[in-house]
Amino acid sequence: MSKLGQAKRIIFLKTADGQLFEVDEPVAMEFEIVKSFFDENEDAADDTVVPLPNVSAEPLAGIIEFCKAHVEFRANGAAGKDEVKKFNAEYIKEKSNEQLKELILAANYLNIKEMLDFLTETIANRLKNKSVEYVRAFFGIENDFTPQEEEAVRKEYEWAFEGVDED
Amino acid sequence: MEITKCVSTSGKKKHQCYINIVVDIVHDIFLRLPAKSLLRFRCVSKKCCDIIDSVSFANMYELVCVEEPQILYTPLTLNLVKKLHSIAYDETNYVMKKSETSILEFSEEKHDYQLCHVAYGLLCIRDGGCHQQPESVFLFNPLTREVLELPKAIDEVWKNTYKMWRPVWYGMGFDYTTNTIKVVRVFHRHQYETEVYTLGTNSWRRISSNPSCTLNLCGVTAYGDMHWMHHYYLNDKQYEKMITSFDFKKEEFKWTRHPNLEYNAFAPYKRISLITIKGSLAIVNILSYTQMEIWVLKDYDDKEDYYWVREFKLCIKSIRLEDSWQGFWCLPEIFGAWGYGGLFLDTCHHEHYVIDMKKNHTHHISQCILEEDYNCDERAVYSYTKSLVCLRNFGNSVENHGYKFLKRIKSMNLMEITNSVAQMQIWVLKDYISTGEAFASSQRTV
Repeated sequence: MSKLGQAKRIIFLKTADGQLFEVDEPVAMEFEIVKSFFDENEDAADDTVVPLPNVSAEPLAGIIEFCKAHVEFRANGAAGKDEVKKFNAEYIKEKSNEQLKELILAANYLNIKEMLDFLTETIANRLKNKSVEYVRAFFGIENDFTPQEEEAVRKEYEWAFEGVDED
Repeated sequence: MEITKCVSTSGKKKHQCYINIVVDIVHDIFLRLPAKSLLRFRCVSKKCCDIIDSVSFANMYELVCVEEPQILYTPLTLNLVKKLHSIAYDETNYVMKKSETSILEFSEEKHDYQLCHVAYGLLCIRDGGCHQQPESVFLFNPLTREVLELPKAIDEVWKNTYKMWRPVWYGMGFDYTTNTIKVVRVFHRHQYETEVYTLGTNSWRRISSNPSCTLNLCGVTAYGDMHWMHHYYLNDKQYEKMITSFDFKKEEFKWTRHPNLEYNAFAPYKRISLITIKGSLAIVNILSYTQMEIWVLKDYDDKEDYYWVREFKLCIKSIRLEDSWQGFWCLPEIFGAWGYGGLFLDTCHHEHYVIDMKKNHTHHISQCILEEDYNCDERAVYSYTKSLVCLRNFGNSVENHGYKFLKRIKSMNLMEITNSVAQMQIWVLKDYISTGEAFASSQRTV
């Protein structure tokens, strides 16, 4: 009954580390994975808890903050305006690389297109003038080149290694 | 009620899963990086190197347009050209900036190089093929400075060619089914003959499909296929026979329907040109001295239901109207386009204008952007974005083969070239009259 009622529907999400989140329906429906969960289980009870085994509480809180703001922006017709840019800039300002990585992995799992686009762009901007070592550390990618191989690959476009920022 | 999912992932599997997700994310982040960063990040790991070097990644990278488009404005035959520069258009300040360092430099006093086609950030350059000289074809990547000489074509018509120039049409395309870049070559002996070359293979292949009309010399690449105008196209009654396309997947020519264009009695075949706008095929139809319309092809991959939309109707008021009584040869002529910008010539006064389709601005270019006064009629504007197509992966790049035009390039400091973008020579464009109505009338002409 409450689906048809006027009352705001709350969606319950449970993270990998066992925390329960109560999220307004429009915000939770930004997560494609949650949306398809309810599409597939139409008769799911209102107090159904959606498990999110690949997301922990910290990134989820950050994602909810972002999506909540963007849902409001859209409702107010502010999408694409300076207000949004300001919020986005403020949002990532204090985020560490580790936090960004957690966020993008979570946004990828939850399948939130808008946020994924934004994070992809943000990380690209952080990485573009950085060194090879920085990128490896950022993603935790193991260098599987032998020193000789790496030197050979490097030599192919040596000029691309000039003018790189300090890590 | 809690719904639990049965997840039985061992630690190792989970790690592998994590790696795969990271690879997907890295792939998407890479697509937004400048080309120079990507050439550096080939060193991150073997997997990263494979991603960046793959042809499908290079193709996607071209479509997302991270780098600003580079413009080439050249005569079709390069025999008078000593240096070829690229030009970047600053759409905020309406200036054209020419690269300080050339992208190509020809050291020979006399040469027969011709720029045949530009696509996927690669220049297709032909040498010889006249004066009984064998024809050579090269692909050149201006970003990496790599040159790939293609195998010799099957056709040996050059053996009997004494005159200066003989038309041979080249086109480039992308076959999505095999993730390969292909080159098509059309020539005329007694009839049209066609051959196809796939990058990474050893030879050209003669195919049975041939064009059934004379092609305009400058074709364009869009949606992975080549598109040419019928060179002698004269009237709108031959409704389906104006645009010939070469389908690189099926390796065959076909007609592509065009919209019902407003008819202009003046110079009917000169007024219509094909360009690409952000990867889409578009028709520029010059209606009069002051008006042009631009149609864009949508849903090309849908064989039956592709359609044209008139996206822009532009008023070109900057051209000195009062003098335009002289006749049809005075119609403006569009040379080519990049992004939403296009370069055209006021044929009455031989002055160049840049038109910004989105803003409906027309800007006069106060200085000629030709490098030297070549004084020739056959010119073209090509645009390209920095390409990641790694030519050294497709055979022996010719660095060591002693081609003269390459020697000069090899001796240049590569750093100079990349930095030069920052300090380019600047031409100021007069901010000219800028009226005109654009509208996106979604007229479907199926």
